[in-house]
Amino acid sequence: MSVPVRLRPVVEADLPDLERMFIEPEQLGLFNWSGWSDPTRLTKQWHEDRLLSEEHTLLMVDVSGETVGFVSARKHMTTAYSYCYEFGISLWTHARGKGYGTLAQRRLARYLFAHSTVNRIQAKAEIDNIAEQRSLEKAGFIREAVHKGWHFRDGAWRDEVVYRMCRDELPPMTT
Amino acid sequence: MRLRPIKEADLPDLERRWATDPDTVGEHNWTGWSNARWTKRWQEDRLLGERPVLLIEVGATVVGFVDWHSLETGGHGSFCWEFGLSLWPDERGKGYGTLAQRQLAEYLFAHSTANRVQAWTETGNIAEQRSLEKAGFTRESVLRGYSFRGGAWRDVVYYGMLRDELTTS
Repeated sequence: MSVPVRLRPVVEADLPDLERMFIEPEQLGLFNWSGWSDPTRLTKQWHEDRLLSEEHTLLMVDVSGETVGFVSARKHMTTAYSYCYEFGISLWTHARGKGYGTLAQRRLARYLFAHSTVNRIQAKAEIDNIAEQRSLEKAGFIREAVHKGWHFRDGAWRDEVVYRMCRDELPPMTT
Repeated sequence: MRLRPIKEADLPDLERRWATDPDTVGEHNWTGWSNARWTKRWQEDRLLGERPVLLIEVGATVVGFVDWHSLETGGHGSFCWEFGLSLWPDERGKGYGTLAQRQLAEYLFAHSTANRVQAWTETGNIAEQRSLEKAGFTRESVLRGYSFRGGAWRDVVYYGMLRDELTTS
């Protein structure tokens, strides 16, 4: 399988799509929507730092030149002096179920390990979000933990599955 | 035993412990010299602001402290508490940690809407794991290569307590 999945920084032309996501919850998907929030938040942040700061990086996912969603990674301090990266992914609805998420997440892992000294990258998925769990596993992430009552969404506290990849667990890039 | 805020008179001892002796904080908490800024932080918000600290007092003796902060877990106020414990070396192994952690969980569930209180410790810190279990926390997971200390990335054990587990444990 050789799908040209590529990550790239956000350009100004992407901003309307990112804003639309916050006013059309179906674009975010069931598991990512926790009510309306300021749709201009990412636009404002983009004007400040192009969404490429040391604390927070957001990259668009392109497949054969077409944008299908984005990945974002955030520094998570684990002690006063050490940290790992925690990331998330959001694909536009029409682009789901095609394996793009798997490739994008693996590319992101590769990117983060290449350009920072972190030892560990992690992601969380709600326990009922089977598609994302499968995608993380296919990308080479290891199911590590279920944290009970972690996240409040749609009227209830939800259990969250934690996935990790340590530097020595990064799979070879085949595509 | 009780938890109480830091008073001005407590500050010299806290500053001294942090400035002089790594043994004070114990092997598993020592990550190098740092400016702990006890006095400065106390002046700012009495150490009761975003990262609160309460001393653990047994009789009239301070034996250590607990501290905590919130972790955002989702949108619109979805969060949990993560806490830490530090006991002075000669006050360990007496059950104070268990009681303090239990009291802290009760305190946090009483005064916030949080659903979850959590703590982690290195896989090698058996005493703290035992203490968390005795305090009613549930061992949930081991996270690999999570924390850097003493020249190496360490695995840590995560413990959690949910609101409805406080009464049953």
